[in-house]
Amino acid sequence: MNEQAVIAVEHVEREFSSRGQQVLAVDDVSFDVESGEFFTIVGPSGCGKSTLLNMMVGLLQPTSGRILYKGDAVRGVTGEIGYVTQEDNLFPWRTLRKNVEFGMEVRGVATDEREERAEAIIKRVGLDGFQDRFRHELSGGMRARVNIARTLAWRPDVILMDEPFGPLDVQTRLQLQTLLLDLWREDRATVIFITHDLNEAVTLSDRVLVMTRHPGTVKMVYDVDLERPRDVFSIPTTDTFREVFDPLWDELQTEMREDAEEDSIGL
Amino acid sequence: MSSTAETTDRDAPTPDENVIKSVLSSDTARLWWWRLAFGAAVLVFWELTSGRLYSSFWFSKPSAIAQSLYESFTSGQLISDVAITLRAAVLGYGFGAVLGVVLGFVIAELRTVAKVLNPYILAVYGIPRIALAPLFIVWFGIGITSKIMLAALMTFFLTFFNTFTGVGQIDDDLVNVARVLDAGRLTILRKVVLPAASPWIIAGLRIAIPYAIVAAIVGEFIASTAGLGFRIMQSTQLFNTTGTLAGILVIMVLVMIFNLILDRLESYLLRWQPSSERPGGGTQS
Ligand SMILES: Nc1ncnc2c1ncn2[C@@H]1O[C@H](COP(=O)(O)OP(=O)(O)O)[C@@H](O)[C@H]1O
Ligand SMILES: [Mg+2]
Repeated sequence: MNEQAVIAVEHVEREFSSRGQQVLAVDDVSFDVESGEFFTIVGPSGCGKSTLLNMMVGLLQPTSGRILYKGDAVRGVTGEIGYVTQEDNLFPWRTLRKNVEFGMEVRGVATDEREERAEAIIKRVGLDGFQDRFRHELSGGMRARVNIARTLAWRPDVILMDEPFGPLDVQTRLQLQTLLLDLWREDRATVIFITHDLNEAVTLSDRVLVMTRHPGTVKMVYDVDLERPRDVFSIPTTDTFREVFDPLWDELQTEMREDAEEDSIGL
Repeated sequence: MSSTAETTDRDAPTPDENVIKSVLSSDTARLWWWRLAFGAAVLVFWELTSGRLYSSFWFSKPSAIAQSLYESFTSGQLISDVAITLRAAVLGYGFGAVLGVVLGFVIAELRTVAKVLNPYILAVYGIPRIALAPLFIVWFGIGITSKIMLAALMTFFLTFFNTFTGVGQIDDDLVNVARVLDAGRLTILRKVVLPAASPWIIAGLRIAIPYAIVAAIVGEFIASTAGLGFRIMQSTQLFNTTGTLAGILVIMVLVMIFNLILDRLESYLLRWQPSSERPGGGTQS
């Protein structure tokens, strides 16, 4: 066992029963995430990525195997891990500002500090001027940013993010990638990031885990030896980036192709 | 696109609110004009045909009703009747609403209890509650207590059922988000479950208003010595159609006033919600 592992996933399996049938969603997955690491999981949709995060944060229990957080088995939600869910899940009765403050409010952060920190993060994700809007008055992209800000605001030292930039346009996506890398460096947080965009995975990460198609298992874990700090706008055009990207793309694309083939046979 | 600060989101809502507002207000004005015109036309028709096409003994007429209302107002009887009925309705409503919301919330939160009781709750909800009125007179006497209890019963069922349903409808994802953000059970009840259920609770509180008033009046029909219901019953027994219709008109106005107040309160409390999503909504303006 790695001494430094913040999260250790050990032979984790998870089954769901759907319509009376047992369906294996996650199949014998093991990996460690080290303290301060930016760790990304990529894989075709439906391969169990969200299920994995739900188990790490304690919302779901593995059917077999276990997950250790700082050495202790995760048995339920502890409130120590930040989790940006795939759906925005904003509280519709709270304004944008109040959504961002929720985590700090619950933790008893003093009002002044809470408002100050919320204001700062709202500005950094580019939502200044929209503080008093309710969820139904925000676009999909804005909701995604509030969802991210809500977790970053209470500064967890381990952050799980499930395709957080999914509903964003390219420009906003690049801006927020930059912001995320900045905050990650400032706070020395550990980030476990999910995406289906390999470009994004390579741009941001120290290591990339490629999952197989459903039922998801680990295909390979790849070290991304690119210098930091990275400029997310220009890095995908560099040769060194391509050297990392291309072999990974080969692996991922076979999973995606087979996925598509199975789907068409399944029709 | 407009020149607002928001440029990164193509799908950001940027309606020109002033244009929309002015369109709305001219539409609203026209709508109200038509509503008034319709009401006036009905009254004029009634007034002109009464006594010509049919006997005003059976259907009275607007001027006679107005006259009767004016007289009972100046004699002070109208005010005292309204006060008696309203006291029973308001006390019963308050009592029933508090009990209904609290119990509905608690039972729905105790999920096992909710599951066990669910068929019973549905069954009891289905009985014609007004049929219990005579029994309530037997239990609580002909004084105000029986009317209060009747109004409380009506209110209780509606608010209980709505609260129970609203709490049961909670989106588990929102609860999970709060748990992950380290909220304890009480915090989740207060800051997630309660606001999430509030549209249902408020809808229940609103539909219960006319029921509470009607309950008090039905109680007075059956056995009483004063109040709007008593007055209506008395008029009817004397074939005083005018008095009966005057009483009904007063009840109608009372219900409308209370609805208006609750509509305002609702729009404020639920301003976070697009109006199309409100359960039991759509009766406004
Ligand atoms: N609550 C559930 N009940 C039944 N099946 C589920 C449930 N959650 C996920 N699954 C199934 O598990 C698999 C993995 O889902 P998910 O983790 O959401 O995938 P991903 O996030 O990689 O797209 C899918 O086949 C999905 O249908
Ligand atoms: Mg997912």
